[in-house]
Amino acid sequence: MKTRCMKNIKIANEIMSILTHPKAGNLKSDLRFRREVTILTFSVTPSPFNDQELADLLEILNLPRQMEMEEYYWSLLGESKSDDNLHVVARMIDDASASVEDNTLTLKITRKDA
Amino acid sequence: MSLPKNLTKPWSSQARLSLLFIWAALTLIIAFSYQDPTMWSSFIKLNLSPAILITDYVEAFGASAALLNAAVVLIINVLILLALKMQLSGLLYAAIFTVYGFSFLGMNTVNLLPIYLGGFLYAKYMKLDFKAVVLISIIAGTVGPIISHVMFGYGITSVFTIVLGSVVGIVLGFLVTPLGRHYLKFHDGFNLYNVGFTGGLIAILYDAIARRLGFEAVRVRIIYEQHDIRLIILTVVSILFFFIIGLLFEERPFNHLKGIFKSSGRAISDFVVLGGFHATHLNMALVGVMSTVLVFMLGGVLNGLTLSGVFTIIGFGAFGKHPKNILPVILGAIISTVLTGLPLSSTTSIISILFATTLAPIAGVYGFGWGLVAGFLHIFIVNHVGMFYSGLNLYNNGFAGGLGTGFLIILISLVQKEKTS
Repeated sequence: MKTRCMKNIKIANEIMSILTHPKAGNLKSDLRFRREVTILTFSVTPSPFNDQELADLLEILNLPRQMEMEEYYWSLLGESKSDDNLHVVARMIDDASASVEDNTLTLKITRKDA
Repeated sequence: MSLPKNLTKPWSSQARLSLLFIWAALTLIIAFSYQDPTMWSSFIKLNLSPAILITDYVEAFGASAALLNAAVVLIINVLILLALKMQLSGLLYAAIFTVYGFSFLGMNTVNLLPIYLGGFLYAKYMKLDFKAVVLISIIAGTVGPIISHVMFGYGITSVFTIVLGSVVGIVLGFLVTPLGRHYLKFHDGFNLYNVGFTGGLIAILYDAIARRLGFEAVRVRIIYEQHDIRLIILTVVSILFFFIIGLLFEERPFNHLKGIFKSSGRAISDFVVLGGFHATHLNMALVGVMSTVLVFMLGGVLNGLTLSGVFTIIGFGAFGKHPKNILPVILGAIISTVLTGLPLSSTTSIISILFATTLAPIAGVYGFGWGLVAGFLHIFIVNHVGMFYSGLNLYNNGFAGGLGTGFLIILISLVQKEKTS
């Protein structure tokens, strides 16, 4: 249970690092722990990404989940702001989606328990 | 040109993984081609040896026994991965090729299996599928000499020492995943051979205890120093085989290489995901050609040590290494070797240069110059650290790489902060 929470917190930490930018006026995170799934939702105003950057971000985050990577590499999360860490996040999550409304980016991440 | 439908149908992971049996068959054919009547007895002796660094199995037990060992280890590992129905990944290739390469230099079935059992028990303890840790368990053969040394290294081999060695192996296999995960943070994923760094720290601890109890391990230096045409054929045909897999049934495989070359190489850089199965094999063949040519350019020979270097680089050609990020590190290591007066053509210099590519992510993230510095620094460290653990950690360069990187990334971040401000 503790490891599950730690992994989710590290994922949230990494995503917030990516979403934080000098002009960010408002950044919210919402972590919902359900029976077999955790849903992490982030919203940031204004959106730090243009359309292409957002598409690239989602492409990385939706790379296939890989348990054999997760178990060993999850400790890397939260240690730096490098984009490489997004690849670690991608191997630990099942789905990522995003929407932009009134210049607010909402990013939703779903992670099922293994 | 459109390809026939049956050829464009995607292969399953299991079918693709099974291609490695062709490579194992090639290794066996070459092993048997020696027609060495002592091959089987030497193979048994190899498995019952202390395996301490530097024991080049080609010199110590003959090329045929060394090749037989590599083929057996490869077949066992592929069978395990097939039984677990593993998804193909860059880490899988890195693990398989590393263990194949080091089967010429210290790894064998006897010292690997207890580690796997330890990994299996760790997975059960953590309520995980064994799939989640098996690849790290495979790479963890770096501590194989500790196990072999407990079993056969003190001149008093008995059922007790064999059981004790097995227990030590199981404990190490159990611990290596959580320890490795913790030590990753030391270098922030910039040292590709992190298990070597972990193995080095484990070996220092073991060596300190063993010495205190009067069981000192003594480093050896057994190196094959001649050209062997069959080992050259093995390397060239293997690389050709990976190149052909890269080209097979893919219309524009070279296009996908761009995705791989853009990658920094820092963990996790899984080229199977970033570039696809075929482009990954092309990249593996490319770095394989680079490393093999380098061995000959520097005046070296393909022996157990350099084979371990070449095949490990080929494996990490699926998980972090590509020509762009290994070149600066190799150049830095060569310059360092020359300036410090070390003989370039000696096997130990060549493997230090080859394995300096563990630092490829530094070049990938921070650029050519820092890659050069990383390679330069690596030679100083790697020539010093072996004494810390009496040759009981096979990935000596992984340990040295971890130490150097832990220092270097802090230095780089300070310099870059100065530049920014």
